[in-house]
Amino acid sequence: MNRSLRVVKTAFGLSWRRKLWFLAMYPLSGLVRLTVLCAPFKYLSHFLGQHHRNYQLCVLVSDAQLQTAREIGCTIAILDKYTPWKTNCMVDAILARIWLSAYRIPYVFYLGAYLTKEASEPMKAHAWVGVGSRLIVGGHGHQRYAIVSTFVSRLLANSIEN
Amino acid sequence: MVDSDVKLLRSGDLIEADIDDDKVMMSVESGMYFGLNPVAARVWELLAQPRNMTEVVEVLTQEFDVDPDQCRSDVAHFIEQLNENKLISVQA
Repeated sequence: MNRSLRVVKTAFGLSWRRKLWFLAMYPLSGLVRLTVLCAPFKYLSHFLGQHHRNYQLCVLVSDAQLQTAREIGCTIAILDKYTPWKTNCMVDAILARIWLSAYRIPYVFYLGAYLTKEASEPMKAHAWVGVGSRLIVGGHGHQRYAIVSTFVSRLLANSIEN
Repeated sequence: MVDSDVKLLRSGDLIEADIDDDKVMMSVESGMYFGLNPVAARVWELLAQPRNMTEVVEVLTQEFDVDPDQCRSDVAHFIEQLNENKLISVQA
């Protein structure tokens, strides 16, 4: 089955809400990838949220918000398998930031790094996003990385749905 | 080439994090990451106060088992890298 058919088949297997997310995220991930490659970080960083040095933070969310956040993370994970362009942790994290903000779910966006001791790739960097006590994207292996920057959703003041 | 007698001070609004004995840093302005091994991390700590290269080498030769000439050469190289990346400034 070629890639296009697989993408359509996967999208149609999801709930209606996640179908719409998948179809909207698909082209957006390409745009995000391009932006990450081309945009100076000092402009991109303003988009990530409010900077809080490299603090490790946890934002308070409701169960419903956490469930929605998990679905967003799962949809992004599925999307990663089907985009023809390379989607890395930064693209996933920015997509999550966009979708979480659209649903007014507060998040914490982390950037981290560690030294590998390998000459070919002396340092590795990673991005991950947390909602409440859960990591929505980028959670696999994140403990290996030291946090070097933390960005928090600007929704923090109005974080709990009634 | 940074002169060994001038006072140097680390600059730039870098965010630092220690991981094992290494230090990783990030500039939010440029998005660049920097990694320091334990000795480089110690030099970075020393440059939190104005110090010249000679003073840095003196501290390192006391704390590490290293030949002074080798240390001086390595520190000079590292200071040049910091200077190229605009991470240090010369103090008057």
